[in-house]
Amino acid sequence: MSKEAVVIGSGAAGSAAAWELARQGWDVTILERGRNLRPGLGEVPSGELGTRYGSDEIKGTRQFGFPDPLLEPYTTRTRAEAVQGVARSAQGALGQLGAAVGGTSLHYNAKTPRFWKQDFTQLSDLGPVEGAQVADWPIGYDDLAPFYDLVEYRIGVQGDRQRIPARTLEQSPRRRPFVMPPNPTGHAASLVAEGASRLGFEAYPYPAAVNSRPFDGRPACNSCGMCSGFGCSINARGDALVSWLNPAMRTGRVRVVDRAYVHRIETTRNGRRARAVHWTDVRGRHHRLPAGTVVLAGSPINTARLLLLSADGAHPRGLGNRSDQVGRNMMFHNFTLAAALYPDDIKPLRAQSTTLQIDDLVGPFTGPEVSALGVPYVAGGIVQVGSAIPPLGAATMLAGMVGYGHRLKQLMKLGILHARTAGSQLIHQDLPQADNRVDLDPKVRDFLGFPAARITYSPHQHEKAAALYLGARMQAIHELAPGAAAAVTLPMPLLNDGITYTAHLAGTARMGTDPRTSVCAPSGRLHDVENVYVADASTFPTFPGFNPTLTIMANALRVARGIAGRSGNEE
Amino acid sequence: MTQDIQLTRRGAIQGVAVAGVALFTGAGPSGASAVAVPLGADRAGFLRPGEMRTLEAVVDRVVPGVPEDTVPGAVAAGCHEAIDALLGAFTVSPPRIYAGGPFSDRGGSPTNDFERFLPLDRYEAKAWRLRIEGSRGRRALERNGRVKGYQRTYREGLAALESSVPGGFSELPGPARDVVLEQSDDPRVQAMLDLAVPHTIEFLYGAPEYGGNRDLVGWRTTDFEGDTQPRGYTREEVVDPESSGPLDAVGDLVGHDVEAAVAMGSTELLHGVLARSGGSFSAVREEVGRLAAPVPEVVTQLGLMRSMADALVRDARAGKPVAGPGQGEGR
Repeated sequence: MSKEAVVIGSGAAGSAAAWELARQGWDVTILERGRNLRPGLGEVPSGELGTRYGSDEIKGTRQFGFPDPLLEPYTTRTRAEAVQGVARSAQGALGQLGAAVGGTSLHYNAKTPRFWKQDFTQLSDLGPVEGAQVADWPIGYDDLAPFYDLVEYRIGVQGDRQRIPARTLEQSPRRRPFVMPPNPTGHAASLVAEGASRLGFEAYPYPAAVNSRPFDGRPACNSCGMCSGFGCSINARGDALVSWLNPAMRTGRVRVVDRAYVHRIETTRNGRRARAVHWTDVRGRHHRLPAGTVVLAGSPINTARLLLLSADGAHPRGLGNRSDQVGRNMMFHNFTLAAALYPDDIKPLRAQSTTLQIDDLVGPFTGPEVSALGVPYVAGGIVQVGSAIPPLGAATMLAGMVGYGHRLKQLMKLGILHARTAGSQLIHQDLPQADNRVDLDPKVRDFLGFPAARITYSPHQHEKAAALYLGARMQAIHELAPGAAAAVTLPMPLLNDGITYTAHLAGTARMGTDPRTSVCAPSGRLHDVENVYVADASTFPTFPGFNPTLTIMANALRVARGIAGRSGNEE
Repeated sequence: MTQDIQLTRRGAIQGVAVAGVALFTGAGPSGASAVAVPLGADRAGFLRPGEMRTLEAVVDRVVPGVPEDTVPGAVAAGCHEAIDALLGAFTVSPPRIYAGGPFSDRGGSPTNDFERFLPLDRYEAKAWRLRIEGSRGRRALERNGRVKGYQRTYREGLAALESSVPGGFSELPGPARDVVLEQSDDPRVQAMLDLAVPHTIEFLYGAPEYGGNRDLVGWRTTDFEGDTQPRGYTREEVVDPESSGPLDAVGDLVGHDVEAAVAMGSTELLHGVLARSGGSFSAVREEVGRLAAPVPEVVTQLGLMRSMADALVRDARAGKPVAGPGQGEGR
């Protein structure tokens, strides 16, 4: 077979896959809908790349590096609304990930925990949950472990093995030490950690692809705190672009076409193979790119949308959708937010955005308290400890609460959100559900005239129970933080029946061995088409409560290695 | 309508209810630098002088200044002029949408990159022209309906507002303008306010290169240290930061209706609220209000959560941690 691939999407999955393919001598074209924001891409070493980012909150408010909601809207609705026949209840940016060369990883927080062994066998271990499609993964932790090692060493992960609890190391064994020690722990995070320890929970440094020392020609982080939603202005973060894409492009085997809007994968007449990818540029001009192998890596909503848009005579319901599984099991990480309020300025923005984590709420939890909530178990997630948001965001939320005027101004002068709050986020596992799905909006279109993705979503009763049960623990942690004047918890799955917001997406093209219940084989290859692979988080059968980027990169490397090593009679 | 929060800095300047002054003298961002957007008469804007007077009278209510408060507000920060510059963004090249990067000159950089606005690519220009100028009947831009555009929304709203009061809105004293804004049921006024409130906030609390936050008034009065790159912070500044002393007023917020806002300081929630609302102020209020005042059924569940938390806190204070180190709970 020809060693040539078209990869759709240049984010965490696409860049890692392209890097691996190039390493194995493949030629790769990446089509990316976003713009390049790193001058020098492909021309200079990653340590010398420029950036168009800065510690500028207004850029974030204006969707810099994101798809524009006017030009590329998604539409959303809750499950209850869908049952009532509501076509959509919101339209715009909800659910959107970044759109730039390097994808959302350009402005991620670079928190890189590993999934746990138990996450790959959840159905076998815990049994089914009514109304959910819990499944074992067709691969295990050990299949990903060597790729976790590889990713951590390329993106440069900081951490402290000595402080990781024994049960965590049992669940996510580490063969090699961290690349570098952790950055200084934020003061606000230390206060919350102290509250957690009073409950017997152990906070420890969050593994993160943030330099604590110069690495890969890039400098050490200096704890400016403008991380979440900002591109790192000093290039101290490992990401899809600096760690995978740029080095891959410098081999001469990988090229990126930016502002390329892919709308169809063309298959042969019998539908068994893809032979070209169709895309449109910003001017609306149409392009057809022949393809020997196609790798989808546009993130779960876009991957599902493209498969559905690619319906043809041989695949009338969309590519890979013979069993009506494409777009189903859409999962979002819901968050439970908690915070401690301080009379003092605790400088929550002076630190790498999140320096500590707590994994005592990962679970699973069972027992009478859980049963009383109507679920067989509660699967939780990791807690990001002790941070805050800068003043423009703070003022926006406060104005939402109290309105504009004198009162808003007084609250801003107090700095309650950006100076006197230590906030934490619990990342909830979201159980897969068949009716949480992406389809094509019957009416709303993007600026090029193609149907928008429509997301129908509501959290499962499990998510609500978990938010209540674990929200109590989050509340207790923050109440016990020394010196706190008050603590508040917002268990989002209880408060909102639709999507809230998260940059953590999974599902829509789950991998499995049974074509009736999955879209992809364990290799990432579509059951229905020989040479089309899915490399992004669309393939995840479940969505454990950890920041997913490390696992997305590791799995994309695994998929790419399988493509490169394919003998022609796999599976 | 407004309730002042007494700003007393415990231990520091007892009895002086002017934290703003204290904050001005405290460690804040280093001095203001030249701003990128030419202001005053040189400004490449959109609104006419009369419209500017009305807009100024509006932003003054969004964040009032002296003498109602001890520190300057949105007008002194130049927010109305910054809004006008946004409306006229495409009359200059590059359009003033995205400031440059990576550094301003406030964190030790000898040059200010923020001042050089980024050239927009075709996609960004298309999106921002549409947002500012509207779809203006062009069918390719109206696949999902008409887009009115900031310019018309401001122009119509300001005109309707000004003429809604005999003698003119902008001639009224501040508190009277508050009443007019609150009671107006004119959709044109509401639509204008839905933009003007977030825009005022944006320009007051965002980087000064966009034309607001003049003299860094939005940061120096709020204990925000500004953008600090490339200097950043030392280990010692991170691990053991100096405190300016506690503010008694924070204690007054406990049990108050703003308490729920404390947990809203999260990037995820902020982006969620912005994405759902499209940035419109009344939609933001609706979103946030729904979270702060949930339906009765949820209130019951929140009560259960709170009582579970109370039990955990009680046990912990009694020396009975819920989980011993290294075991976790329930495993």
